[in-house]
Amino acid sequence: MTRRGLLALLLVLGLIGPAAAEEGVSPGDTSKSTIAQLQLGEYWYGRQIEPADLTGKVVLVVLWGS
Amino acid sequence: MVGLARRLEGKPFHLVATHAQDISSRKEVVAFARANGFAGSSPNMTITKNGRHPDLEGTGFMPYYMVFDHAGKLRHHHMGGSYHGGDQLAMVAWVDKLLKDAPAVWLGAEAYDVHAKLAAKLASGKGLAASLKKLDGLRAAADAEGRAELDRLHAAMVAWRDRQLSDVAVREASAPSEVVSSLKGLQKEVKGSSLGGPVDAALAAATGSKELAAAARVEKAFRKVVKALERVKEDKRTDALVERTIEKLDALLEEVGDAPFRQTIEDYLATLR
Repeated sequence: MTRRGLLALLLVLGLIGPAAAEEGVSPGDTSKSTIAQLQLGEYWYGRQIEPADLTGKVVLVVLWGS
Repeated sequence: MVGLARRLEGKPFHLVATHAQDISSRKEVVAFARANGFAGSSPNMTITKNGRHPDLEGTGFMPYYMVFDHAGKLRHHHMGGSYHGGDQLAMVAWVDKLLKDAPAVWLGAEAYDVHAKLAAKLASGKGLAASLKKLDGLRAAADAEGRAELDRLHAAMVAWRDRQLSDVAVREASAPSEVVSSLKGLQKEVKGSSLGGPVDAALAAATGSKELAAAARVEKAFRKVVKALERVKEDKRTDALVERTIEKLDALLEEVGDAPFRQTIEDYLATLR
């Protein structure tokens, strides 16, 4: 199955929204989104930080699963 | 991701990896991360559980990336997997691009007016000692009205210094042998200014610390053991060689006790077991 075909199938099944199917991005307006809104979640490992520790830095947030 | 964070240590960058599925326990996730080189002692990496951004929905197809610039604005977000229409590793280029605009010293989001030139010089991180002395002189001579902007600038520099001290403290877990030299470097940057006191105190404490010196000795032995193993290509390593390495590292764990460097040895052991 081609990538487009797979995306179409997922879209039909309702597993992803149209914007995601088209471009691989979350739908919604994020033009005013900031790091101050980021919810860090429960600390698990590595450097312990507060949201304020991230100001002034370029921050890469990765949502992942395994 | 781990390679990226390591490459960018010392730059204004932080990686937040947030685990967003309920199928693995904390222990399993941490073990996986450690086995893949995510060291608990890393100064610029953090793992959390169920972090999220309220403006983003439909991020269930992971990995999903968000890249924020130094001013805190979300500049890029995308799925990672190409099978979901994702852009795979495009966020690395975004991080590199945004870092070019990130100041070495963050002075806050609000612009400076009367002292914009001094602020720009401080933000560059170059020639800090001279600029800080100038700032002190201007504050001392300013009247109440003229002092407000200078006080804001000073407060930003105090926050920067405290962040540097915090970074050095973290290095005690990853490289205790570098703590004193890092503090000496920081001392040089704030020399002769009102920011020096806490740095001088931290350096005096580190220089006189027997625990830190002992950890630095263990670190040296640790590097030697690791180097000996890593000289042998991974596919050529015998079980016996790995076992001997583990035994040596276990012995170093005994020696280091509860010192912060213990974390680094444990992280490395996790990649071998």
